[in-house]
Amino acid sequence: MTAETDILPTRSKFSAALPSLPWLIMPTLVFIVVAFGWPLLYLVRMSFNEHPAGGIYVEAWTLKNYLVVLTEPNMLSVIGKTIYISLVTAIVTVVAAFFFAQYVWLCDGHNRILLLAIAIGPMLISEVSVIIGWRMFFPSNGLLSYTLMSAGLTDQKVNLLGTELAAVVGLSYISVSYCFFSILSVLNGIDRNLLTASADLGASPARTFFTVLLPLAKGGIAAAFTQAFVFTMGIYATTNALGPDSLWTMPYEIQLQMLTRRNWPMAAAIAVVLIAIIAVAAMGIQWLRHRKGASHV
Amino acid sequence: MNHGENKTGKKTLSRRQLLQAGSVAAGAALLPMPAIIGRAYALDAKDAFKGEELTVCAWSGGYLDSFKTAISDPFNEKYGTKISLVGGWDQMVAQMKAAPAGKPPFDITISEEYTTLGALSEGLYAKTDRSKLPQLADLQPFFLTARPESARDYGVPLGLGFSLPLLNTALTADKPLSWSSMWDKDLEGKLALDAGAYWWLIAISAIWGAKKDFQAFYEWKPKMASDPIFEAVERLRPAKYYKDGAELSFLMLQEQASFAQIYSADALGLVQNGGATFKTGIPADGTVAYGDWYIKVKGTQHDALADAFLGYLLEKETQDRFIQVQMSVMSRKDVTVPAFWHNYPKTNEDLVKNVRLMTMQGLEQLLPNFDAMGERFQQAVLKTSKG
Repeated sequence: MTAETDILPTRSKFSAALPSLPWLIMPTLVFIVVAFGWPLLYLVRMSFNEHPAGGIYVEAWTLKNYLVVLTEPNMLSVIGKTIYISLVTAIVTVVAAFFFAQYVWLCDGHNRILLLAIAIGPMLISEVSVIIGWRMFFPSNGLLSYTLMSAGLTDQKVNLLGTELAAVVGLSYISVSYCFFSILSVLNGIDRNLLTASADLGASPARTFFTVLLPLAKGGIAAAFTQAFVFTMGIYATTNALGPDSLWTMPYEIQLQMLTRRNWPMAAAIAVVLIAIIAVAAMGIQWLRHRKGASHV
Repeated sequence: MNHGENKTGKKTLSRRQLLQAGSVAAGAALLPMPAIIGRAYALDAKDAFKGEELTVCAWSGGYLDSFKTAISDPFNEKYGTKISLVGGWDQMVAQMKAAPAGKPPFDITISEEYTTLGALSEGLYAKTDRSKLPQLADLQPFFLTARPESARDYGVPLGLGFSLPLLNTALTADKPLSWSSMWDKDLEGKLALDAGAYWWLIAISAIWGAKKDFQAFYEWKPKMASDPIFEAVERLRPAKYYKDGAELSFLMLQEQASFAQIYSADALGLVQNGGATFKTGIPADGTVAYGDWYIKVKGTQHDALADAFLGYLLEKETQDRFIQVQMSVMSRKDVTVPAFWHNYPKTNEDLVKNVRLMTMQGLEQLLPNFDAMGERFQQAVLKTSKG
C-alpha cells in the first residue's frame, strides 16, 4: 500500500464527520443575503418611488427616475464623467502598479521585502488622510509648488489642486496597492527563466515584454484593472476634495440627491445604474480576458 | 402617657402625624416638578435630570465648538446631565427619516427654514408647549412672526445665522463690505462660493446681482425667457466653489481666494484664524439670513429634559455667553452685544430692515422647481468654474 492510499481512508473519515458542502456555505450565504441582498432590494424598490416637492418619497411604481437618469443631459454628463475618470484612473493605476510589481518580482532578498513594505503603505492610510496629504501637496502654497520654485523650475507658484490631474493622482493612490498585489501574485506564478529563454532566442527586451510577459500576466492585469475601475466608480470624497468644481461623479450626485435635495428615489435610481455599470464593466473585462482562449496562468 | 399611645405600649400614628408625613412625602415628590415644566430652580432640576442623557444636533464645525463651550457644557454643569453633541448640515432630515420609530438619532436638532419645511412635511418633529416658555415674551417678535403660525409650535429660536461676505485685505484692495463687490473686476477668479447649499448664493445674486427682490428668487422657473438671476450668477468668476466649511477654511488660509461667501457659523473662527486682514460682518446692503431654531424630534425618550434644554436656550445668560463666541444675532431683545459685532441689529426694526430671511413660505413656493434650479446651477458652474 502506498503512502497516498494510507491517507485516503483517514480523509474519508474526516469527510464523513464534516457537514456536507451546502451547509458550509450557509453562514456566508445568510450574511450576504442579509447584509447585501436585503438592502439592495430595498434600494431597487426605492428607485421606483416618487419624490414629492418638500418631502422625501411616496410609495409608487414609476420608471420616471430611471428615465431622468438615462435621458437628462445633466445626468448623462455625470455618468460619462464618472466612467471617464474611472477609466483614466484605472489605466494610470494599472500601468504604475504593473511596472512596480514587475520590478519587485525581479528583485530578491532585502530589497524585495523593503519594496513590499512600501507597496503596503497606501493600504494602511485612510481615504481622509490621503485627501489631507494631497491637499497639502498640490495647492499654490503646497509642497509641490515650493519644490518647483526652490529647484528654479518655475518662478511662479503652481496650483494643481482642483484639477483632474489631482483627482486622478488621489484616486490612483487609493487603489494602487490592491492592483500591485493582484499583478504580483500572477507574476509570482510565472517562471522567470522564460524571459531568459526569450532573450537567448534573440528577442529584444520590448518584444519579450509584449509577447511573453504581458500575455502571461494578463489575468492579473484584468483583475487589477477591474479593481481600480470599480473602486474609482464608487469613490466620492477624493474626487470631490481634489478635483475641479465641475467634476460631478455619480457618487457625488447620489449624495446630493439623498441629502441636499432629499430625493431618495432619484438617489436610489442613480445607485442602481451605478451598480449596473460596474457589473457590466466587470463582466466585459472578464469576457475580453477569456475571448482568445484560456488564460496562461 | 399621653393620649397618642395605647395601653400595650405600641406606637401608633395620630391623624396629625399622618397628615404631616403625607405632606412631607407629597412635597418631596413635587419638588422636581418645576424642573419638568421648565421653570425650576437649579437645585430641583438637578435632582430631576441628574445623569440623564440628551443628544443635540447643531451645525458642524466652529459652531458646534461654540455651542459646547457656551451652552451644553454650562447646562451639564448646572443640571448634572450628559448632553451629547452631533454635527450636521443638510443630512438631518434624511437621518431622522431613516431612523427606526422611537429611536431618533438625536432628541433636539437645529433646524433652519429648509430643514424645518422638509421635517414637518415628513412629520419628524414634536411640538413644544409654548405656555411653558415664559422666556418667549423676551424675544424679538421678528423671530416668531417670520415663521408661519403652524410652524411656531415646533421648537424655539436661538438666533439667526447669516450668509456673510469675507474679505482678505492682504490679497486684495480694501473695500467696504458689500455683496456688490463680488462682481468687481479685481475679484474675478478670487471668489470662494458655496456649491453645496447653492440657493443662498442664488438668493444673494437675485438681490444684489440682478437687482431683483426675493420674490423673483422664489418665483424662478426653468427655461425662463429672461433669467437675470442666473445671468448674475454666471457673471461671477470664482476661484472655487467650496463644498463645506473645512474646505472654505483651507481655501482662505491657503490664499486660494480673497473674497468668500461664508456662513456666520464659520465667521468668527475664520476671522480669528486668518488674522487682522480678514474682515467680515453684516454688509451695509444687508444680507440673507436663516433661523437657528432648535426643535424636539418626534420619538425622543427625554421629553422633559428636552423641554428644559429649549427653555435654557432662551435664557439671557445663555445667549450672552453664546454671542461672545458666535457671530449670531440672538433671539432675545436684551443680549449684551460684543465689540466685534459691527452693525448688530439691536431692534426689531433693524431686523426687519437689514435681514432678509429666506422664509418657509417662500421656499415652499420654490420647491417644485428646486431640482431644476440645482441643475441650472450646475450649468452655471460648468460655464464659470476654472476646473
